[in-house]
Amino acid sequence: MDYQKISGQGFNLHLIEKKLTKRNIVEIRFADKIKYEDITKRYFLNEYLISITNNYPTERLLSIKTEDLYNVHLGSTIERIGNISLFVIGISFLNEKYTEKGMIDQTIKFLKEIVYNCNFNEEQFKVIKKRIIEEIKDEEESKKYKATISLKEAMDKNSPFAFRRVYLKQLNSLTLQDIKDYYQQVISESDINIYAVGDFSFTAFSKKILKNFSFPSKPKLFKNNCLIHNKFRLLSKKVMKKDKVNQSILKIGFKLKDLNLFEQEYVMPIYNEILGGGSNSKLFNEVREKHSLAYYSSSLYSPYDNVLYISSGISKENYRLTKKLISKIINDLQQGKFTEEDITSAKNNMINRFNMNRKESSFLISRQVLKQYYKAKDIDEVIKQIKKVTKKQIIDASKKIKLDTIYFLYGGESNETD
Amino acid sequence: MKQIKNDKINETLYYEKLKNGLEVYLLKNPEETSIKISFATKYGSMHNSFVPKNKKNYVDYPNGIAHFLEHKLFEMEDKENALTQFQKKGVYVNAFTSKNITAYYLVLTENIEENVNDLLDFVQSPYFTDENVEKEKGIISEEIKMWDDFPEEKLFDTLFLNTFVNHPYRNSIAGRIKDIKKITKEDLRDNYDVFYHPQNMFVVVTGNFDEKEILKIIKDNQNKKIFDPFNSIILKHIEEPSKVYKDKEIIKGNVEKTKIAINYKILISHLKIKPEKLEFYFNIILMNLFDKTSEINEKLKKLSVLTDGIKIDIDFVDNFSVWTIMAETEKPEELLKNIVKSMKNIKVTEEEFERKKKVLISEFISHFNNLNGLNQKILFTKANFNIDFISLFNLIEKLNYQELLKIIAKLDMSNKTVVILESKNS
Repeated sequence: MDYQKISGQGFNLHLIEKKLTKRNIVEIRFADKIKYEDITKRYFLNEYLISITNNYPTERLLSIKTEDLYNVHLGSTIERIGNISLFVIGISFLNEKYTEKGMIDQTIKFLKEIVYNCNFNEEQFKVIKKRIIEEIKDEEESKKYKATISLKEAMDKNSPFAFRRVYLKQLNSLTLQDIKDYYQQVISESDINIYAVGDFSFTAFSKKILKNFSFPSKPKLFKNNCLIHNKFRLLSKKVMKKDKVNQSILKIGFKLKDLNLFEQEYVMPIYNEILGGGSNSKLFNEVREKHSLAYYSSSLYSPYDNVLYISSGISKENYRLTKKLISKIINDLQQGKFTEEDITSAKNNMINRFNMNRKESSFLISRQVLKQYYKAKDIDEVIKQIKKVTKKQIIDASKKIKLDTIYFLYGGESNETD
Repeated sequence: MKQIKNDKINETLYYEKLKNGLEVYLLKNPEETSIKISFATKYGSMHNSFVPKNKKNYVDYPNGIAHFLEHKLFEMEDKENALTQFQKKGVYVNAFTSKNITAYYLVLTENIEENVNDLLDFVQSPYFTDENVEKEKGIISEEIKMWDDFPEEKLFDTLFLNTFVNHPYRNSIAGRIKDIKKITKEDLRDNYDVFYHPQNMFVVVTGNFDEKEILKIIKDNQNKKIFDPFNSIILKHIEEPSKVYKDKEIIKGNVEKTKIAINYKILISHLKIKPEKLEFYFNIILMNLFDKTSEINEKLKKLSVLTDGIKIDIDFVDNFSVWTIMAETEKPEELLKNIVKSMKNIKVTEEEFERKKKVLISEFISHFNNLNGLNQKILFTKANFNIDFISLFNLIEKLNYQELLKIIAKLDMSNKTVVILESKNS
């Protein structure tokens, strides 16, 4: 895989080769430290930018344009990794050889229009506001999301790991002027990187990007990008919440204390894999296969947040039994009650996943982002380090997970009677 | 090995039918880092009334049995569950059941021979005991309950129950808890014996591999096994009336926003056009009527009838095509009125037709970018239409405006069912 980094006016351009790909991708990522007070306007602007422009002043006209360009996919999102918030605008488009001559130029011009020629007006502001209110209702409808965010807020609602995508209170006080001001702030104060992945000549493609894009911003260096926790509970917090659900959801949150970099990058992922990574994990085998208590039972490790979560969908009456089983699994791991075979299996799974994804466009971009802000290593180096991890290192790391909160969203019984 | 080439998109599909009837489709991409292999049977939740092997009469099996069987095939005699075995080796394994297909698949990066053999072997060596069947009932009950907490599932379940009168397509894939509680190991065996014969199955491989090598592995594996002669599958013939089962129903659920879903049940036998081609024309019609480029979408947003989009889907079931339209709205009756009006007077201009054709071409070519999605596309094209995926490209290129107009003129859009899902508090 070929990679090249070029400095542009106010941004860095990363060119990543992906031979024979049918679709190319260009993503512009505006990075900054996350701030609670900016959450909603950041989200709002991110949605607004891809909705209309001066040359395509209605959503309908903008959509027709994307179809004329052989169905360009235009998208935007806000990502968070630790303390860094990434404001992303991106397009993916068919390789020119499957379309018509000149399509690349037209597509880049279209992206330029999205970034620089936004049409800010009160009418569209109301449309986007209404749409976001609907999205908040969607979150309320998804019980899994609700349980996840409630667990995080119960753990520490002031920490970025528990921030929501958007807050209704902030939304209600937002004005069009706020969004316009914030747009100026984003393009002039962010650390800006453009990622292009595809089957194209680097020289020709970079010329097109450098010619069309420039920002008043300067590349920035951020410090302390990982979340570090200072408060740990001696007694875990328990939150029981009744809701209209058929299936109850058990969520358990842990904070990680004093992991060193090696543990964070290589040891904890293996621990997580053994605990609840897949269908050979302790959680899957004990909770689902042996005791038939759940359809899913798994764990998730968030390295740059220094947290780990366990999730399981169960029947209300099995709460105590499930909790007891999970607690036993955690204790067993701390006492080294797992085999070399468990470790090999966990390593194999992780390595296989890396190998599976290593040429995926989104994976290629996300690795570059992690390199930039978290000094992540090349995949081959990561695999080499994973292979080195020992049982003792896993046991040591397992003692650094601190139970924080048990959250139980429970309902009545199933609507069905047997 | 037969080669089905398409030079315009620079892709080749390899095909072979083995002696035992198993069909193999191979599509390679040397730039990929892994391989996805699916082993599928043309058997899904709608195939639960048939004549079992060595019997004379039809038997009705409980709803959800195909999905239950999918779970149980991972069990091995004297060995660990196949899920665990693959996971130990770092191989991704999973399976799914739809209304007309069940598939088991691996995504792997190494040890191709061993893993392909293991996949074929675990699917072809059923092991059911009273104990392991009982155990699965707890797991699947939790799976059903999990889905019940997604409001859209409830909406679609009701929608399809109200669309069909007799056809088993109306039932949900996993069945209800009361259905699966009835399932026995003998039921599973009866279903397995009829539908898991190589004559009814096929393999799809996508990713980075050598076509000769992989075909040889599959062939060698199958040559070692002995199968009973294949008896044609005798499904119970179901007379499905043209009319929907129920015109309209309002249901209550734990929702924040009212949702409306409409199924148009459209007779297509008189059109004399193959469903795989019709699907493209129908897609053009529905996209053009309701997606973000449509006038009605824009108008309904202005009137605050819609805030988000309108979702569309197309199914083919025997002599019918079912068009599903779904949206969230605070004004369901107004939305319904507008949809019905557009459906009564379907219009597509030539310019719109050409633009939508570009969209279809783009989407088709893009499938080759993703070995997972591509694998699934090949599976479903085979199961739904009994043709190979690559041939669809020629169909798209040959779509023409005059034919579309003729089809539109012949469609009867009077037969529909509507389900509205409201909040329990309203």
